[in-house]
Amino acid sequence: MFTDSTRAVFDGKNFGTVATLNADGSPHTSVVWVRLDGDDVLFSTLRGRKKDRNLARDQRVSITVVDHENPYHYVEVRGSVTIQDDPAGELIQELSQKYFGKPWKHDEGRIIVRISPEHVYERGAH
Amino acid sequence: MGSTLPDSARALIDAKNFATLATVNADGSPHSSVLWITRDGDDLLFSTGLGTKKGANLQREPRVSISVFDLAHPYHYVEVRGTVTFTPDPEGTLADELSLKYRGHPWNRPVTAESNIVRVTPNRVFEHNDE
Repeated sequence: MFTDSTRAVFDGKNFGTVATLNADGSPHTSVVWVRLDGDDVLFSTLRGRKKDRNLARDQRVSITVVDHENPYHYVEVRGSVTIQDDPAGELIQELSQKYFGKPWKHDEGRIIVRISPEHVYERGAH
Repeated sequence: MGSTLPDSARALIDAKNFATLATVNADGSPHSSVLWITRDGDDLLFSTGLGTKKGANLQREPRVSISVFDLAHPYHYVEVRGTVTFTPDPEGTLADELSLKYRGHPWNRPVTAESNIVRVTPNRVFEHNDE
């Protein structure tokens, strides 16, 4: 589903903005670290966070990732998520190294959110 | 029941930072897109055509969420949730204003008759600033 150009946006230190649905059906957005795993998109959050509560109720998400070097180039992925526990915080440690270059502080209740894309939209590629 | 924007959130929005807008598709799933944004007091403004995906979504469901992060320091971001109203802008005045802000020159492209100013009146503002 991903081309070299859309993959490159995910592989760079580019932040994602994930949109989920609140209980009243209105949208919510928040900014996350992301990476690809094959054709899936992964991000980390904590149990009980608004994103987690929203995704427990409705698994559909949309995420945009903007190329920070050229913000006119961005990718939108829409799909549904599955969630797994990450007690050792493996994903957040990996993402922290990618974006921060150092380990993440230990925190309880880490989960891995895996988006299986149904739609990948790219805009502004050169 | 409006919400106000703190000075630090205003600064994020006033700089050349790109915004991600989330709207709701006809099937109730979320949609998001990246856009230019400006501000009028506490309201956020962006430009779109009524016939675009976001324009169609917004006419059906006026509730939105917008996140803006600082490109130079992405750990600082603001999420604004609110409801939109439309003002027709057939001359593309907002498109010009946004193009000047982000590119330093006017839009210089025709806008369609269905071009609109979308005004987001915030009812919730969440600011995140991790070092």
